Amino acid sequence: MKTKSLISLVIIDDDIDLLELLSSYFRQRGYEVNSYEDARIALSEIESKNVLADVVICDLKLPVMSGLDFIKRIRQFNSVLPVILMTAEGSLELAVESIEAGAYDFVLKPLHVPQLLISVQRAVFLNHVQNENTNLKSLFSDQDFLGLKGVIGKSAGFKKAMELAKRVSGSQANIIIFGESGSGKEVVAKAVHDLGDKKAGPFVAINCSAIPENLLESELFGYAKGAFTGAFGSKIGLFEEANKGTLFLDEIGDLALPLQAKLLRVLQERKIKRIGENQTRDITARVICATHKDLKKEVENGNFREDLYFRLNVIPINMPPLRERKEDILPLSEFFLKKFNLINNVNILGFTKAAMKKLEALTWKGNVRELENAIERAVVLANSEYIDIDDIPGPESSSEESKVSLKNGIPPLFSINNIMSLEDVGKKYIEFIFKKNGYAKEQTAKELCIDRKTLYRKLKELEHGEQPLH
Amino acid sequence: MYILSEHKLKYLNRRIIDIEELKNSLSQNDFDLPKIIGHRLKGNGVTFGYPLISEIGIALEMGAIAKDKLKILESIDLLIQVVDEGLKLLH
Ligand SMILES: Nc1ncnc2c1ncn2[C@@H]1O[C@H](COP(=O)(O)OP(=O)(O)OP(=O)(O)O)[C@@H](O)[C@H]1O
Repeated sequence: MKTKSLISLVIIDDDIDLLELLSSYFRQRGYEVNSYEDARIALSEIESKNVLADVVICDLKLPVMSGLDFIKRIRQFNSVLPVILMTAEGSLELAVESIEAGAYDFVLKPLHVPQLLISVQRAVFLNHVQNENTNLKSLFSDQDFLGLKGVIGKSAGFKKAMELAKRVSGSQANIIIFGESGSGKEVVAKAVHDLGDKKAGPFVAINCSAIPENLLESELFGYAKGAFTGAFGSKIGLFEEANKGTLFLDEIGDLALPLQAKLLRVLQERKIKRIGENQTRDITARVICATHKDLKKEVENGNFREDLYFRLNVIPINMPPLRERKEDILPLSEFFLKKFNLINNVNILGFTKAAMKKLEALTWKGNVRELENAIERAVVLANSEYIDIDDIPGPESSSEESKVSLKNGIPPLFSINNIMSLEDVGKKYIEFIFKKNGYAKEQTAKELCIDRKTLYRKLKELEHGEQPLH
Repeated sequence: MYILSEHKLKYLNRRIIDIEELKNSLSQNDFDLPKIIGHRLKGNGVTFGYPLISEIGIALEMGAIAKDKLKILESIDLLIQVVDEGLKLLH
């Protein structure tokens, strides 16, 4: 576990003597104290997350905003923060009213400070238990869309796509999902699978641009023993593997023309032949395709068969890029935070207001995948309980990073003691550009002047050689 | 003890300011300030180890509500004595 920083206490009292006494008393006992004479200022500091309070001690009778009003306002945005009220008026009615308004405890003035300490310690414990409880609950339930585990989003664009996915999940119509790389096309495909009648069957996904053309055919259709040199045994293809389930063909826009013809035939006849075999086999898998490309344009340019386009484009689902559904950024960030908290066994509690603003302001070229990577990195690097603005790589910082790594990173490649092969230098460079572009493949391929297929292959090699890049 | 003598010293010195303000407000027939100061002393005297100051606070607050100048004056005199003695003990 990350070491927990100090317990943060907010003390509000217009009596400067008590304010100073309590501040010094609790500081001596290891608390971090923020003190205010005016409850309104304390409220705005807590609300804006400039101050992250674990417990508040507040006087009841304050000149501008009373302790009771303070509690009522706090409860509008924070239902759990314990507030201990202090008062010199010891009526039972007042105590009841305070507790009803949401006060955790009610202590009488003149204060017996050690007694107040006990009340604070109890409140800290309560706060801790409540936070843990809410974290667990929200990870497992409240954000999931349509009951799908780990599928997060509340923007209109996201909901439209997912609701369409739900509606078509029961039908057999062909579905094609459009969206930029990392926007969640596979998530939609999986939702169609999970919500429909194929959910008991397998979900098999393949990225058509990641596999060289000659291998892709045998991957999809399988082959018979001796079908070609090296085919020592027979192999079932993915169409068969996905029987009674779903076959997800990602990056269908990158499929070579001869394979497009074969795919069209399969979709029409719902039968396949393994390579080197004459026997036809029925396929029962539902086929879902996806692409980041504008297929219509690809048809116009002669890169994609028009008949296949019409066959696939029966129900198009469009997943907008993350920058066009900003309302999803914070819920996704919260979800990834919890996920990586669990994976790394740390307990980062959330994001500062400034960090949230930055998350919402960034353009996320690599979409949800880039956001996920950024949160993972922030969880690992954060050195306080809340992820702050500097923990999130920004456009300026990533370009700064590139300058630095170009400046400091290249010389070692050429150092006498560390000579790298040309191939390794190339790989390092690809890795560098890929990271710089926030893991956006399209952009990376463009910048490197290579096609996506080559990029996929190179990235695969990199993943096998080193730690995964995405 | 959790109340250090530096806290007490500061506390008593602030009461000297209170005394001046109380005298001023009385001369202007202002009862609001004595009520505020009285309420505050009622709440903090005991905490700083001066139960008498809390008593004085109660008397001040009640005197201010009743607009009883005499009671307030008596309270101020008493406060002067308690602060004086307190400061002597600290030095
Ligand atoms: N709505 C969402 N809720 C939770 N996680 C999501 C969501 N959308 C995407 N992700 C996550 O973001 C990453 C990228 O999503 P996905 O693989 O579905 O994108 P894609 O559009 O298919 O990308 P590519 O075209 O590059 O294959 C995955 O780790 C996925 O789990």
